[in-house]
Amino acid sequence: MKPVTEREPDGLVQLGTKLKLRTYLRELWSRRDFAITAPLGDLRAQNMNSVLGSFWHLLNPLLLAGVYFLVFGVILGVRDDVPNFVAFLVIGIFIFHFTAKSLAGGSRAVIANLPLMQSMSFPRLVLPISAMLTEAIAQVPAILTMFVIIAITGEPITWLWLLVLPAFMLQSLFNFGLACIISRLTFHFRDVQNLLPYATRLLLYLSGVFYPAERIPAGTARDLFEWNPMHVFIEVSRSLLLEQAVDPVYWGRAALWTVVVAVAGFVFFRGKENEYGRGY
Amino acid sequence: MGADTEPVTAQAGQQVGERRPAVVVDDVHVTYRVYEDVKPTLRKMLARRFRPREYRAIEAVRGVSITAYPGEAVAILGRNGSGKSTLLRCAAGLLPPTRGAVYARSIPVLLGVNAALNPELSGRRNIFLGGTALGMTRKEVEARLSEIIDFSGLGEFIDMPMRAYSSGMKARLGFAVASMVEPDILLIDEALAVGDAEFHQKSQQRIEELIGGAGTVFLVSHSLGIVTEVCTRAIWLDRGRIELEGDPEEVVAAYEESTGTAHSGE
Repeated sequence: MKPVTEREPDGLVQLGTKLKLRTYLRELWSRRDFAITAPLGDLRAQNMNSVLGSFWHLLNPLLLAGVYFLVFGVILGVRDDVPNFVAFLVIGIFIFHFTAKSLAGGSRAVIANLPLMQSMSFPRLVLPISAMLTEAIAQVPAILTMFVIIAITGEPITWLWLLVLPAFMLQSLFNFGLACIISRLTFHFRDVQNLLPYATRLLLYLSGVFYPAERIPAGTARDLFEWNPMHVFIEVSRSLLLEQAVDPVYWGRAALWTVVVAVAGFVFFRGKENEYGRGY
Repeated sequence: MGADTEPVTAQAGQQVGERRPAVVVDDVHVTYRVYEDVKPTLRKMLARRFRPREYRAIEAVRGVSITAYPGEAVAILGRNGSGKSTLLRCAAGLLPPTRGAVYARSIPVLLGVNAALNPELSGRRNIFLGGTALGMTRKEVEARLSEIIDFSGLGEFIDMPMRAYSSGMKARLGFAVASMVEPDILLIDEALAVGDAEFHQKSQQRIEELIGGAGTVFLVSHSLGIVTEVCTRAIWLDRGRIELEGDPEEVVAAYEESTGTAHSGE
């Protein structure tokens, strides 16, 4: 049995080899319709069996906001520190929720699609992208709800509100990077899925969702806190919606985090591209 | 080879002059690692200080070479555990061989589109899901939608959620979607075993069309009738090696003799 490689059969391509970056991206682009069809189907399927259906996407964070309002706002009295605590809290929760849900979805992206990968070849990056898109689509009505609540609480509606869109796009890209990283980690260690809720909870408490940054004593702790990407994304939106201001420092940090996490996620995920479907 | 590969567009091309192979399976070995324990948890990995886990090596495919040309339908026969499905998944590029390599002129399509489908959604939505998963655009699926629904023979069931389908109906939908993509290289793994006589006839006809259009088909099947009727070549796989290769009638006869089920294809 003479190896064919020596003859290099013309017009043939060796299967299962790592594609060049350009080729990979082109392949990925050719699956764009799948990357969007799958999340739309998932969202539809998720909501078919409950009475309130897709309203739960809004109801969950709203109920959460109610709980935090009671515990932190009323009982612990944080609302005295913040001019418009309801709007402050709602922005924090909706922005945080978007990333938290993307992390949870990302953690399932690879391991839940093993049968799919075992029967079809496509750039595996489609999976974390779909996971992120699922949450991004669900986030659109959440943002609109957020606008309504903020308007009701008496904040002026200005053109700056439109800048929530680029902020949303930045955060989506950031979430994509996180989904890439978490999906590969879960592929190696299923434990990640068990740890994730606690990590997310810890992050929630550290992101200033229901308290202002000033609650943290000035110094290293505050400096670190102000670099926390979740706090950064929340502050970007709060400054737009509550202070009618563009905060260049926080926008810069958001952009930096996005670029770093998205690129790192892409590279990290692609490193095991041909392994995900192997299974055990 | 390696990093500098470009995927070839999946399209049934016409051959001019010298016959060029469509798929070359070159001395492929596949060794599965069957681990003695479950997938390591972080705790266990720390406990054994990142020592690799113990496993038993199972050689599913042991040095198989196949060259398939456009217009060929190659049947792969063999008992359970002879390595047929492994070989097929390897030829599809879905399972990297432990040794050897697989070359193809386009990305082969394994008839396993059902894995992409969502049981909660209607058949119609699943056609979009499966079609786009196979690399079609939504527009392309749209254009062929009625044709696919027609071929699937699902009728009014097409707007019911797929979880209400029988296994035969699911198989029909899967085959309808996968074959409508007009794959240049189609690999079929027992998928035709389910489904009724009418569907059998339809799918057989569809396979013949694909071969007629210079496509290449690999077929793993226990239904020996389809092997002799449709396939141009048969390969009998035994314990990961090729036992016999050649004319389907002869290979099927020899295979049946060895298994002692010489009732010949119905």
